[in-house]
Amino acid sequence: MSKKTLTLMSKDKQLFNIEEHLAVQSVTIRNMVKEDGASSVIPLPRVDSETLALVIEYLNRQQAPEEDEDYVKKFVDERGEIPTLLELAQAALDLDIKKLMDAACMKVADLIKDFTLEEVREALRIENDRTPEEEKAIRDEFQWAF
Amino acid sequence: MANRKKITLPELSPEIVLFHILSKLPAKSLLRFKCVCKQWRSFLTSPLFAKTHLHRVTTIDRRHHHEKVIFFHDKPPNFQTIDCEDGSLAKPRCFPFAGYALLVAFNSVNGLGIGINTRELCDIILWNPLTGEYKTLSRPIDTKCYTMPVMSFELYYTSCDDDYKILTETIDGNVYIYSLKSDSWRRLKSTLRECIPYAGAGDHNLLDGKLHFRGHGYTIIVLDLKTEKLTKIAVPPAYGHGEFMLMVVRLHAPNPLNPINPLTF
Repeated sequence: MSKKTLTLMSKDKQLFNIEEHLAVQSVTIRNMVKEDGASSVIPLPRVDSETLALVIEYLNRQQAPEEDEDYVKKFVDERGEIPTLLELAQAALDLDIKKLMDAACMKVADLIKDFTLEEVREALRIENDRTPEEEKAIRDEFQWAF
Repeated sequence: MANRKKITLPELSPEIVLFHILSKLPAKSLLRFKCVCKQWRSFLTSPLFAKTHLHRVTTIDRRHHHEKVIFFHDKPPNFQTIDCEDGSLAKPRCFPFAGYALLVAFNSVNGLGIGINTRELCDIILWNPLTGEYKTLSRPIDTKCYTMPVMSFELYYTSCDDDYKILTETIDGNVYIYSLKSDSWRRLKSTLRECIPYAGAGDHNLLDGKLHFRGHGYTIIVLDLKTEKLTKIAVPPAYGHGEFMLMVVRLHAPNPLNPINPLTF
């Protein structure tokens, strides 16, 4: 009997095939399959094709369970760009793939932990809504952290 | 292959990802990042975040635990930390004990510490040296709680009711427990008359949800933090006169691969 295949569709309408027993590592997909059977296209309207390709690559890994921790760490390490990691974390959250989400968030945290405030804002595309006075007040308050 | 009815993904906002990222940052970065924007500040100061982060650093990820030796000087009260890794010294900006005549510092839990001013009716202050936040606790009704040399306070955390508590004993054998949630003290009823705490028993030790302290004479009293029941454990007969010290440790079997370090506490 051939293995069942699912098709996932990215935001930009690209189709990706994946074997069902691998796809159900995603709790979201597992629940969908349980609810109304498989054999159709699962649209993922918030995941772009580049990110979905990464997720599929992760789900297709052939690791023994005990090597999984190291694998997922290496997997996110090799994709060390913050925008990519943020997309990956969001996709992993949507699809409920906890290990991947945790690893991606951990990597982002590691990358930004020594950033200056300006660097953080730039990396995460955040607008500074504080006045210089407010910022100075907080800096003074937590002087020894700076 | 037919496209089946539209599947709706759970509506999750990008803030959840942000929350997960921030909860994985070391405390020092978090203090700085309060400045990033208003949303981050409200995130980082929420009780939910504090709990998530604490859970993470104490149980899952201990890499960012900055082991520090806190260095108290009691006359006049002064405070410094020494980083165990690089030996660097630091002083917090906010030091709530500055005006005090004499300071007695006790243990610390989850980054919080307690300090007590020992002059007359003292203040007990709960303090977070990293953030500088502190709280002066309400006073026990029984003034014997602060009479020297009885004073010994043990700060501990109970996860079952998510509360910080302080245990103290008086010279006449009463045990009092303070709860941070209610900011109040209550007396513990003990049926173990013979093992009332020993005056000046400063050796409190916490292990596996049980607090061990010295009772009258050569006894050790164990307080189960969940049930708040007191029990007594037998101690070996005394070796002559003098004080005994109490230290509760968990012993591990020697690691054959590391002969230099035969015992790890």
